[in-house]
Amino acid sequence: MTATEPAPRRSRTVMFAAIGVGVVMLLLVVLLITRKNAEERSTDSPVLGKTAPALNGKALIGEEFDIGTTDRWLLVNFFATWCVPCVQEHPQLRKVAADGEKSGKVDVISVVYGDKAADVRRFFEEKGGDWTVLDSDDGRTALDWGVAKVPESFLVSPTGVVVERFQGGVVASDVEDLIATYEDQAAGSGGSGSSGDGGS
Amino acid sequence: MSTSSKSGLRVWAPWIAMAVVIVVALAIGTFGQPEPTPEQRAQNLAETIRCPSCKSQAVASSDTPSSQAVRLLIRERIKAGDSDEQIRDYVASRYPQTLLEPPGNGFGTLVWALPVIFVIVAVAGLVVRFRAYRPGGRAVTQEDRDLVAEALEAPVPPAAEGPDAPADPVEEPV
Amino acid sequence: MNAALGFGGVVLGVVGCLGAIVTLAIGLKNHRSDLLRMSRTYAFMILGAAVLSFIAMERALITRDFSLKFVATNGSSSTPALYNFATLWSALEGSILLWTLILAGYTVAVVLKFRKRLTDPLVGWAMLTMFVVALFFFGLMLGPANPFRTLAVPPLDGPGPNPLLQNHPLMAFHPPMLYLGYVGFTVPFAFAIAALTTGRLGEGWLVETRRWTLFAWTFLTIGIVLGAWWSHEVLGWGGYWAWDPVENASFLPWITATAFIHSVMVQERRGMLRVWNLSLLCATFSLTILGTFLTRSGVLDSVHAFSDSTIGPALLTFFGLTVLVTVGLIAWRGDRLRSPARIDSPVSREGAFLLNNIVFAAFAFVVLLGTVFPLIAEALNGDRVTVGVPYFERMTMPIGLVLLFLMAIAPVLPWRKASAETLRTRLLWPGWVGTSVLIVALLLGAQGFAPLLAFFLAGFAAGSALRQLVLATRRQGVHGLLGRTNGGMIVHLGVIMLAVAFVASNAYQSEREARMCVTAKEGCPSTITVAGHEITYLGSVDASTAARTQISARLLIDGKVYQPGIQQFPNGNQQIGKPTVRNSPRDSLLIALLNPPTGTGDTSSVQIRVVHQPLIVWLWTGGALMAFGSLLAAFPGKRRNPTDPVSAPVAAGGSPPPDPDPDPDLVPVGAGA
Repeated sequence: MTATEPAPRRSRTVMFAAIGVGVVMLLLVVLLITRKNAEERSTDSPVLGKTAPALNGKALIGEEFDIGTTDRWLLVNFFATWCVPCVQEHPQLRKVAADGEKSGKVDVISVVYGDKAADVRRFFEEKGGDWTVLDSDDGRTALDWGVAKVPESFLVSPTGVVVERFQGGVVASDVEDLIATYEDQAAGSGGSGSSGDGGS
Repeated sequence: MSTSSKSGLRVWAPWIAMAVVIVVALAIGTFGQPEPTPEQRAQNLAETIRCPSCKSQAVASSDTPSSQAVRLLIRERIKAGDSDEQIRDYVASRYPQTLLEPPGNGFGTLVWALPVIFVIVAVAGLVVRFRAYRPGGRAVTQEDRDLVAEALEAPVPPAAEGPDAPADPVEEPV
Repeated sequence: MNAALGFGGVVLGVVGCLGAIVTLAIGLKNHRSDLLRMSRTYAFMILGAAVLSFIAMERALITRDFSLKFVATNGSSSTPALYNFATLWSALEGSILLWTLILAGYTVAVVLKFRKRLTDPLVGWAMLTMFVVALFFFGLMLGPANPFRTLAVPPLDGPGPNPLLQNHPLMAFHPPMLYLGYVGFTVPFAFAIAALTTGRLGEGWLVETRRWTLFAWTFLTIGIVLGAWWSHEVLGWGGYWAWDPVENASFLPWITATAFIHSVMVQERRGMLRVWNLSLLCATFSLTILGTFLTRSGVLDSVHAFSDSTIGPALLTFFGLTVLVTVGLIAWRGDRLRSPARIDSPVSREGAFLLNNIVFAAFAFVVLLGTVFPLIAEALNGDRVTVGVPYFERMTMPIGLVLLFLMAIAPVLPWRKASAETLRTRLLWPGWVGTSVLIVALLLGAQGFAPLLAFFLAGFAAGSALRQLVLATRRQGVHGLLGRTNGGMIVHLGVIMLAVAFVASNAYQSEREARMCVTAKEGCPSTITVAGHEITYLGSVDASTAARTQISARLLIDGKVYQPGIQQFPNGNQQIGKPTVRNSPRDSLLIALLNPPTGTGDTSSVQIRVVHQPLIVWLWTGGALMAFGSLLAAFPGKRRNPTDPVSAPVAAGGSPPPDPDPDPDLVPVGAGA
């Protein structure tokens, strides 16, 4: 320690390092400030635009259902009685079912998501609705359709392709307008009944 | 600290023995492992798949209907003989972004690579710095010898601190 | 009335901070000691303001004053007293109030501790920084996070806090401990800024604030461990650390603070790493702000996050400002303050500490990167990736192993340079301790390369720490447990305990679900055996209290009755499980009910989940040991002035004999330039 130390080099390492770190951190700030809230992010559905997966649950209300044998539009609705928006959308579903019965074009089918059979039956007794309601099949149907939150509904074309997905409650007029649009398109393009591209 | 003049091997013998024991024990522990049971496989898979309707929990620690469905699927698929990879792929196909481990390809590789690069760069930087620091050691001069002699000649009080060298960390001031 | 008092307190706080900032700024600029001395008055003023607001809010909560929006949203007439008191910090605005109170408390503590040096410009700048930070937090309460908003029409009752936040007493302790830690880091940060601004880095003040950092570090450690314990007891899955973004946010400052605690010893002894230490302090404080932002902004998916996003931009802006100021100061001053001292050999204690710092820096980098990477990927690529537990475990495992290794060899490394012989002789016994631990683990049935290696290194490190303690107590008796080195060894033992428990409980956990009946039948036994423990179902019982309804199952486990249950709180129809944990030194059994018991009396049946985890208790014990060791480390111990001669003559005309118990306030001058 008595040896003469060389004078410290006038280097700028610290300055460059500090500025480097600072730039990275400020970029992080910019990144964070431009992000939307996590809850607002939605995910894509894996079944959109593809052939509808099977609906294998036991029928709690109504008869057994086979998705392949119908050539009507089908609104597949996943719900639970404890889910407040599901309860709120129920009248809309009844309207779609009633109108669909009248026009002979649309069926409605509900699939239970995480709920007890007794509660579901009581719900339908109180609130009405006479369409087929399938049990959750231990949640397998929801998994196959990629459903994680209820209410979620899918519109399936007569050829069995999922054309639209509704996250949250459905509105009857939206569903009916959509069906009308697709049918017009199909009629306009030569009536082969093909489904359009799935929407968002 | 006297410089030992015992033969190198004898001095290192206990360490070599220890190393052998360690290696053998680790080998037994690693290669003697039984195949994971289906239960364990199911648990492992469930811990690496995110619950589809939760914020950030694994399927293994969540009770939502979707988690229960996924856990049931895992069990069925294991019984049917699917591999872990196949099961994960199927769940990911139904619920995108539920694999808790970022992928090893595409953009996701960055999250694995960056820390490794960081450590390599930091250690390399230190190594480069050390090279520059090598003091090279000065030769001992007569001046140094005189200095030491002078210090040794001065009277020392009887209450010495003991034989421990100042470099012993126990002795060091706290 | 409560709202007026509380808001008045906030306004008083803002005014006090502004006054202090202006006064100190003028005092520093014009070198006026009288103005600098006024920081004492202002400190007490803002403490009074914070206390006033705090008392006002607690009074509102306890008297169920629903005219306050905060009480109406978070309080309830049926919440028991302890949880009612703790409701203050269970929601966003109240947590900011708690933060501000603790910050004001620390400001007063600094003013009192440095009362004889308030006129020193360095202390003046430090106080100025603290008042600026306090102004930010008071300001938050003035605007976006105002806890004293009133409702025109007060409701008759409130929903109460989130049910998960009122079924375990640890809720009352975890946040205050955590905040005592977080906020405590403001003090060393303030001194770091002061040193950079005044350019006075060569003196011992940084070492002096080491105690403050240690104090804050201790509370942060306790807070994090309490949080893990709480999760384990309450969530019903046996998990205690999920690498959740909010958990990571609280962990990041801990990592940088631990790095600082180690590298400051290099500064103390060799005068090196001064700029690095400053950077660590600034990083620690910045990370507390970033962590607060991540917790409160809702930008990241997390179970813990408060979902309010109005104060997000404010916190982020403050973080950005802090980064700018810090980086600017360091870039400006940094190169002039570097020490000319050099490291002689990588195999030395300095070398070990350097490596330690690199590893901690990598650790912090991994945790931060993993936490924000989903956002980066989405922004740059549109990809949606999730970075979860598997990533963190795989990345932190090698880091943990290296840290264990360093804990083993660093205590035996001398400063400056070590020879192979030194290492060889000193590490032999710890090496055998490690080997025995490995063999014992193997014999007990442990498997897997990583866990076994971890056990070996843990034993190795424990042996090294014990060796140090044994030598110290042999020489100095009970004083051998006090002081920085020895207390540090006890902290290391705590860390090792925690590490072993962490590895064991993660690697060897097993879980089982079963249906049980009081009278055994096909597919529904009345007794099951899990990992050597016998569990018998005795029946169900109503365990409701005034605050909530609860149905419990009575289970006989190894001769003692445990009652896990399912609770329902009046504010909603959500059912919350209340698991029980049977702890023993060997393992823990966590029992949670999947559904409420059905049937009555002899026909009763219930579905339970049993989670078996070895060595869980040692996690909490290890945490306690860390805190205890840290307390011991704060004692001065048998300190000697580092520049006093060790073996040279102490004759007349030489320096006076060293004082065996020097005044801890006197700062020892570091060796080296």
